[in-house]
Amino acid sequence: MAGAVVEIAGCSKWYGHVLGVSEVSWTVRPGSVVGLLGPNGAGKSTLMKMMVGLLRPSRGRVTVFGEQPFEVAAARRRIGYCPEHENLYDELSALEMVRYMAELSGVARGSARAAAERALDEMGMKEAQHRRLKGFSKGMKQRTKLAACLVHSPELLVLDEPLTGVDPVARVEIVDRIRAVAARGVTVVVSSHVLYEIEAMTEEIIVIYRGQVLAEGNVYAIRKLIDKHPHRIRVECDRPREVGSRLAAAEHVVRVGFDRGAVVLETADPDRCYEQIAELVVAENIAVRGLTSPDNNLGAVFDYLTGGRGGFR
Amino acid sequence: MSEAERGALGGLPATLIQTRWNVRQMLRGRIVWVAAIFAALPVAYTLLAGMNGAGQWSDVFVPLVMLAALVAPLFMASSMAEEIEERTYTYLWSRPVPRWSVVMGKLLAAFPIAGVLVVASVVGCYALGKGAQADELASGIAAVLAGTIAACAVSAAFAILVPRAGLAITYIYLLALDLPIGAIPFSIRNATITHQIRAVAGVSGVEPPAPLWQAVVWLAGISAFWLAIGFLRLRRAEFSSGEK
Repeated sequence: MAGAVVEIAGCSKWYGHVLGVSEVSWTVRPGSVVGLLGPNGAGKSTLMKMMVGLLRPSRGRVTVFGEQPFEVAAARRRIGYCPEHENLYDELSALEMVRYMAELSGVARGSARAAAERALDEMGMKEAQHRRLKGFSKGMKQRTKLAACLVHSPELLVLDEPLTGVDPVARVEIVDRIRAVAARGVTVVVSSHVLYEIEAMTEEIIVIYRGQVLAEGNVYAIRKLIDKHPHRIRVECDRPREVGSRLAAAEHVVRVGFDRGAVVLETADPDRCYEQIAELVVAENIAVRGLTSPDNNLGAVFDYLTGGRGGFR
Repeated sequence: MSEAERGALGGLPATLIQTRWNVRQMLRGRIVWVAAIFAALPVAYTLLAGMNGAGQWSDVFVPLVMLAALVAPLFMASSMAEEIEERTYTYLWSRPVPRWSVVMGKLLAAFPIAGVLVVASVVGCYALGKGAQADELASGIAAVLAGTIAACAVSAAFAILVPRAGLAITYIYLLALDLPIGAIPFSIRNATITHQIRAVAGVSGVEPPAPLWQAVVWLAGISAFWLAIGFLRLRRAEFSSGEK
């Protein structure tokens, strides 16, 4: 496709005998925000690492701005990459780490400090910028990583699970920051194994599972497909039996189970279910410790989507 | 059009940037304290030997050679291995820098720090030892500094090849292979770092002593050989941790 920022053509990647991704082809248009959705181990990180030049495709071709990032170092100047892992240079402060990354991306030494301060400020890290990274929380580490990948004003952002391990408040803030960056015209590719996280950032998603692209397009069409399959919601609270018995009567709830101080609801209408949980919790003054949608549920959904046929588009 | 013209950072600027930030990290880490203890050991040995009527320069130089072998890999191997094991290399290699600059940046950072510690140890031993001339001090310093560079190169290669055991394998190689082979009276010892350090220092025991340039060329060759192995591995390395 002419003018595509990322072009992946017939790309496969093996780790020895293990298949990472298989025959993947897609393109990313300039200025778009694309969400890569899939359970852990689906191949999202592999695709992203090929985009930023950390991995070389075993077969096929990955080009970013027309060049192959593994082979051509210059191609990587226009990319900002936020890896999935949370390891940072613990002996440095947040400001030092972001300055280091700025300089390595070609920002002049004299301007690197100002650029790093700006990027950290944009990520809400101004107050903590002089603190050593060693003592940072997961949320602070994610923000520092995002600042480091934004500091040289890249034209393409590749964000691998940027919301993993982040508390709900920080999650909202990070999503807002990413959306603000995208609004400036920066192309963004972001991955997650949670549909709701992707939905908060973009409507354009690619569903990937077992190394293959299962579906791509508008989030609502894909969500409709996913929502046909019962969705599991785990509510950790002080009165799980009461929550279970009250919601068992709802027509969208197809199964109720209990697991170590939590009630696990299977529902055909997640939105309605979340609403009813919220209403019940407020009305009965129930103390909720956690509300999650277990990851393996997504795996089950993808199995359902493939229908054992191994492919779905 | 060259890589640099298209926006890649050249090898030298990328190396120098990484050197500067690696020095900062190494000086703030715990390893510098461990290395300082290593550096103090030969001085303590010389002091004890002197109290017992020994402590000749030619005797205390052997512990100094071993020190050069121990201190440099502490910085180099651990820094390189940590980069790979902790996956922080992902921050570096997704930037427009040549991969080899990561190794050179660490080598140029480890060398002066390890070098200062080793030289301090040499000077301490010289002050406490017996029978050494001023020119022997100069050649001793030059010898251990050259050995420090070579040990950095060896440890870089092992850390890249076997990140989890890079430091241990470097020590095994240097102390169990290089040091004994360097002591045997056959020409194979020319390929060892420890023998060439002694040769630069003029205490190799070889009569007549080989010219200084020969030892320097050997050390440069050994360093280049190990660095080349590291660079070759790094050029196409993908270091997947199995995650997809």
